[in-house]
Amino acid sequence: MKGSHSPRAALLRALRSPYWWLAPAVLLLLILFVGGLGVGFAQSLNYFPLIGLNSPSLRAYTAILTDRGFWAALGLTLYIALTSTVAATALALGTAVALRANHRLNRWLTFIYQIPLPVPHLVAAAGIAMLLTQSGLAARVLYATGALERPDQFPALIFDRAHVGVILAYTWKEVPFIGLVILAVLKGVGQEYEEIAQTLGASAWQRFRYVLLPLLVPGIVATTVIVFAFLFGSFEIPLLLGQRYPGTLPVAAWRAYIDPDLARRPEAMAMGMIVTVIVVALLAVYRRLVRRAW
Amino acid sequence: MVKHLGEWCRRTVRRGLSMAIFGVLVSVLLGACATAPISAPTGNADSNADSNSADATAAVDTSVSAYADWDAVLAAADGATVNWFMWGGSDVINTHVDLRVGAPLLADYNITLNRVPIENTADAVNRVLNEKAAGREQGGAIDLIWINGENFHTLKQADLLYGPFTELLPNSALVDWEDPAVAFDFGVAVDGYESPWASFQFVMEYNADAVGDAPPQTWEDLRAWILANPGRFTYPAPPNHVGSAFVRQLFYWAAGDVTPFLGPFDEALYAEVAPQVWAYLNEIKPALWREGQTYPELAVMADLLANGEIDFAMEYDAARASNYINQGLYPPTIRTYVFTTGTVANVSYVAIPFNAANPAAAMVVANYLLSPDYQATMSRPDELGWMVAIDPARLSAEEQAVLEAVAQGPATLAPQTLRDAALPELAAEWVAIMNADWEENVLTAP
Repeated sequence: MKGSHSPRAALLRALRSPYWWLAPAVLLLLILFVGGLGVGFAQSLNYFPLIGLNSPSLRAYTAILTDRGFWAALGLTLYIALTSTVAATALALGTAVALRANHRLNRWLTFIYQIPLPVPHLVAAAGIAMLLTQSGLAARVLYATGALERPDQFPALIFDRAHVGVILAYTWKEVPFIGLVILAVLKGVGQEYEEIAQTLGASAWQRFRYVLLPLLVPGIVATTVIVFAFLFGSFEIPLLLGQRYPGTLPVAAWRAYIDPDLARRPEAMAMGMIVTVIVVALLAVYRRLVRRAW
Repeated sequence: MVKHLGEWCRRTVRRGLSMAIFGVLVSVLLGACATAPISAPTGNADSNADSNSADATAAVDTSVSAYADWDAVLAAADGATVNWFMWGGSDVINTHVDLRVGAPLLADYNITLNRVPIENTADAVNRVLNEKAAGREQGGAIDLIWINGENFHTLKQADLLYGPFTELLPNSALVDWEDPAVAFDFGVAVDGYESPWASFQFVMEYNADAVGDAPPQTWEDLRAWILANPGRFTYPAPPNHVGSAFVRQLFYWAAGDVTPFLGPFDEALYAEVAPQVWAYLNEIKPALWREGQTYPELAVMADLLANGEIDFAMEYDAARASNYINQGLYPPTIRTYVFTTGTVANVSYVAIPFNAANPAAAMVVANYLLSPDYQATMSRPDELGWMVAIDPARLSAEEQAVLEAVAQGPATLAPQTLRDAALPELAAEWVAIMNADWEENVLTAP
């Protein structure tokens, strides 16, 4: 028998097992994510002994689900996340295909294209606000050039019902993120498939639709999933640029969380739980749909 | 046979290792949970007399009773660091605290002041709560919190404050504790659990260029002005503290008197007054900025006034307009006024969490904030321009002269005008109900 079968060698092999490398990450995930989710879930069930809530109940959930404000907030959150994701994906696809050729000019353009990536969302929000409020830069320029009689004739794009400013800020931030992934896939794919299709008589649209797009779909799906989940759950930009009521779900959860009245904490946590469940469910449905279609 | 044995050994070892990994994970998790026992509900606020000093004595006794006198506090504070959690949204306040509080404390008391900026005082409250929930009875992250109102109420109610400590502070004698506006923080008895820093008063800010020199000083005139000038007025949405104060003062106006609000919540009075307030606010709603479809955040409202998008703003700080003019954030035509029926005033305090790592040093900071020299410096318009928290009558003639010599900013009302107009604040339970009902009756009303 070989030495490799001895217990000692097995031990050594087990120690070299790649699973060990996962341990720190798994630990962190378990403690921070599962632990945090657990505490949040307990509080959402009205279990918060620190302020005397000792008997779990579904009070917070029923209160939220029967409030018409919740459904308005849910609709708004879905609308913002969907619109921004679709707009950003379409723009990213177009720009990435345009930027794929390895010219010198394109290298410069790609660099400029990536600038929004490291800009924090809060800074993006501040920039959009300075540009687009009714006393912002755009309104002032139009007023100075005589295009507007009064600066406040500028359309309300910030704090508005349609949340145009929020969607613009998100789109600006997410286009390069999705675009970079698509660019990377494009570089890997190369031009050969399209050239073959061309020799077989495919038009430019057909080459894009039947050759390029199917190759890109896995990358697009992965990034849109990330972007959608992020946009659905983040609250800073809607808080800064959105209308006061109805606000998005994460903003409503945040407002309930910072309320000095601790009795509102279960509501905040319940909203957080609902956001989590909705995101997970929507993404599962989306992935299934995409897998079936392609 | 031998081969099978080897296979068996290998499998066993592998299984054992997996079990070991799993065991480590579980025990770490359990350990984390064990150090975070969910504590039983703490006693109610009434039992606050001396209950805090009994517990929290594991390593070093830092309870109030451990200090025989002020010298003992100074000795314990020597060389310590104070983590002061405070709202960090104002450069002026941040710089002032670093230069006018931090620097002298280091020079005179060898105390390092670490200003921790937070976006919202409730963040600090949450942190103390979480530390309590995690069983951290000593060595907490927070030594001092800039606090008042509901946040103080929350911590005091949960018995999470250090104290009562104000009697230990020598400068506490300069505070007029007989004044209900000082001894009660939004209707909650201070009971020595927080020490005053400065006092504040609500004022209306307006652009004299657009409004003229006679701003609408009654609530009736204000309504008439708003309806005659659509789109030029707004207020921050409660629960923002300024928007909430704006709405609160309408309750005083509608009731015609302040005193009925000072006790505990009165259902009958509220039911009678509230509909008048909601009617007023819904009447002006279509004439507000953006037709009342949205309400600005506090900082945004100042920008709107500065940019000429609206003609009024408001702030729970009589000196902000002058400060902003000096910094070039407001045009020089901004002025302030108070209503003929008065405006609300309150005191900002500092409090020490039950598990503060350095309560002695935190007390030295609180005492320093009450010193006549510091209070005079703080009230200068080129510093914070806030109103003093101490009673000028208790100062020496010299100190009083220094205080009186402090010049007023261009848009700040005279101290006497403000004092004459000052109205007391009401209990936090009223505020919470008004804020919630405003959302229901005004914000979400069609």
